[in-house]
Amino acid sequence: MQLNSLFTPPTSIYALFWRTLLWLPLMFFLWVLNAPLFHFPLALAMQALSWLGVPSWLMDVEQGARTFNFITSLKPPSGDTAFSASARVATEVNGLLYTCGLPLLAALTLAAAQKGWLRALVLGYLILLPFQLIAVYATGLKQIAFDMGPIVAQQMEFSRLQNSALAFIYQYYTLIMPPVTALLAWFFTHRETVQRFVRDGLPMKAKPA
Amino acid sequence: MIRFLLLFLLIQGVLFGAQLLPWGQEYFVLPWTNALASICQAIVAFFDPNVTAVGKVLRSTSNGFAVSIEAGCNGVEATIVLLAAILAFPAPWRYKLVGFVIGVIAVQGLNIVRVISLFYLGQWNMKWFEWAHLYVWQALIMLDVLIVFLIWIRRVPLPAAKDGPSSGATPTPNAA
Repeated sequence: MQLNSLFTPPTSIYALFWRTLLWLPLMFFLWVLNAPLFHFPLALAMQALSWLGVPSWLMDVEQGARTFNFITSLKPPSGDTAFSASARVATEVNGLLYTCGLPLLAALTLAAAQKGWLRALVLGYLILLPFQLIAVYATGLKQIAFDMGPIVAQQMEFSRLQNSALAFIYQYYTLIMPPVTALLAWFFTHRETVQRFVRDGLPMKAKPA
Repeated sequence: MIRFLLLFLLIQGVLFGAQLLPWGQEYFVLPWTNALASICQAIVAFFDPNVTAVGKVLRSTSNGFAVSIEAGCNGVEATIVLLAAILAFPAPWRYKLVGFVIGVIAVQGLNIVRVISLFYLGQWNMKWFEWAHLYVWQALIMLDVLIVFLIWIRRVPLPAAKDGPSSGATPTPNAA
C-alpha cells in the first residue's frame, strides 16, 4: 500500500479494515497522550452534576491525568480506627476504560478518508460524550454503592430499584457501549461511505439540487 | 437509518438484559464461556501440552499462570451486537440466519485468538496484558463485528424501489 493511498477513500471493505488496523496504534497513542484534554468535558459535566446535587451526597468530581475522583460527603465505617471523624468516602474511576471507543472512531474515520473527515471526527467525538459521561458516572456511583460496604451503601439511601438500575446501567455501559457507540457514531457520520461499500462499484446517488 | 438505530439499540438492550438474568447466565453464558475455554485449551494443546481448562479458567501447569474468561471477554457482547444489527436490518430471514451463523464464527474465531494471545501475553508482561485486554482487543473485536456486518449487508438483496434510509435499508446521504 502506497502512503498517499491512505488519504484517498478506500475502494473496498477489506481496504477499510486494513487501513483502520494501520491507523489504530497511532490513534491509541494520541488518545492516551491527550486523555486529560479528551476527558475535560466529562469532568466539567460531572462537576456540574455534583454541584447540582445529583446525587445529594456527591460533593465533587475531580479530574486526574486519566482518572476521575468522586468525592462524597458519605462517612466511612466508624469502627475502622484508621479513619478520622472527618474522613469522607472517595473513589477513583479509570476514564480510559470508558473513552476507549474514541481511538477506534478516529481510526475508522481516517481509514474512510471521507470528504470532511475532520468535521465527522469532531461530530463523532461529541456524539460519544454523553455515553461516556453516563458510563463514568454510573461506574463512580456503582463503586460507592456496591464496593464500599453496607454502612456506606445505607447512607446513599438508594432504593432496591435504583440499585438494580444502577447495576444494569453500569454493566451495559461498561461491557458493551464504549466500542459500540464508536461504531454507531462512525456509521452515523459516514453514511455515504457505508452506502458506497454496500453497493460496491455503483455510483453514489446524486444529491438533489 | 433512524429506524435501524432504534431497533438495534432496543434489541441489543433486551438481549444484553436477558443474558444478565440468572437463567441467562446459567443456561447460556456459563456453558458458552466454559466451551470457549475448552476450545482454547484444545487449540493450545497442539503446541503447548502444559495448559489445562477447568470451567472458564485456562491455566498453565508449568508456571501456574491462569486467566479466567469473564464477561466482556467471552464474546457474548460482540455476538449480541452483531445479532442486534442483523435483526434490526431489513433483510429476508434466510439471509439473517446465514449472516448470523457466519458472523458468529468470525467473531468467535477472533475471540479465541484474543483469549489465547492474552493467555501468553500475561505470562510475558502484565502491563502489556492489561493494555491488550482492556483497550486493544475491545477495539479489534468490534472492528471485526463492523466488517462482518458491512460484508453481510453488501450481500443482502435490497428492495429496488426502496433503498433509502426511510425503508431502514442502506442509508442515502440526501435523506439521512
